[in-house]
Amino acid sequence: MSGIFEYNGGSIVGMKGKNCIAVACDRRFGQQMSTITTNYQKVFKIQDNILLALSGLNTDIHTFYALMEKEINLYNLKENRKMKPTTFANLVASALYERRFGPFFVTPIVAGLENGKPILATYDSIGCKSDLDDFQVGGTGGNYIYGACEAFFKPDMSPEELEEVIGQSLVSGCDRDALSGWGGVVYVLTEQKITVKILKTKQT
Amino acid sequence: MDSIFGLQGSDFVIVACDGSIAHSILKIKETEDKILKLDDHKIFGISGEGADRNSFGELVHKNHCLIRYKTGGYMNLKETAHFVRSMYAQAIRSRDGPHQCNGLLGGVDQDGTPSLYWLDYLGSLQKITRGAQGYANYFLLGLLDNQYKPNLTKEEGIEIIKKCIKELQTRFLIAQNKFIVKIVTKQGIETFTI
Repeated sequence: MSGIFEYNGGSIVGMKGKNCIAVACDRRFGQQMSTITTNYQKVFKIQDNILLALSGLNTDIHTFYALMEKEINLYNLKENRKMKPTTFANLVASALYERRFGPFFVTPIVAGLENGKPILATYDSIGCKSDLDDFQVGGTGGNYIYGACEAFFKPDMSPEELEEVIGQSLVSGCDRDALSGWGGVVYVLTEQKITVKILKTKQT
Repeated sequence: MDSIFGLQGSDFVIVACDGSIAHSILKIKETEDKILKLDDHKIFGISGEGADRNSFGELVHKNHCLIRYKTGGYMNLKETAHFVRSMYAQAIRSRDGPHQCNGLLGGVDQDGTPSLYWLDYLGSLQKITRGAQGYANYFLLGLLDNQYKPNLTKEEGIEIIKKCIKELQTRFLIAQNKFIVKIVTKQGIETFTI
């Protein structure tokens, strides 16, 4: 086993725009060299203005997402209000640190819109939050996507431009990574709606 | 060494397994049924060592009965799949360690919708239309991808399974002569041996 984070494969990327934010993921689910399915959902809607993207070990993606869904539902019931994206970002960090000595093998990206301002945070598997950059990556193809992001990104993009740029970064990155790919999905979150677009990458 | 494979059609799900139990170079049995019946419309094909397969199978079956009893009698496929996944996921960080078996859970809901789920020992879960566990992955995924089309009829599904069996018998090093095939439709479960 080359590494528990590389067992199932997958890549995610998040990018800020002007009053909008986008998150993209590939669609592969595999077992080391073998591909099991090509329609694996890695981005989850936590709330109308919060998206959670997860890459890493499949079982922990399911478990961690279920845990976060439970937390936000309990919060809604107890406090009778929606959770702010910055609050959720902190919640993810503390939920990860709770398992400091037996961590979830996931790298999450939280993307949200708070009063029109985009919020983007990423973490290592034990909850170190990093929310200062304008784009974040995660997963096995992360390093390849970084390069493409640096080249294509510019600040304050419109939703259409952002969708194009994040799509191109994801596709370029995933085409080079053996463990990611088999298609991509881009989610763009604006004040009014969430748009979903499916992209074609190299089918290997 | 077990082969478990299956596919989902327009209104049915097929799960097939090889029937052999072997210890080192000795073949103990050729007609072992590795596909567990969870209820009249759900089957769970499990691959792994005999003891793990049997014990996890029983655990799933009994807990499934318990939940149905507690919550009013019926669990659909999606709920069952997530429930079995949670049993796997909860075990991986427990004292006794993961359940050392993988599975394919298939069935037909009360409204006639078929589903097939791929589960592994860590608690990975994916809804699939065709798939396999174990060494069968290497031999059959290409064949299943090639032969599968949406809205298969039951007869076409059985033909594809027969081709898969022939492929394993031709190319797989371990001789697996008998296969047990179970088909779930809205009417119930049919079993036959090939």
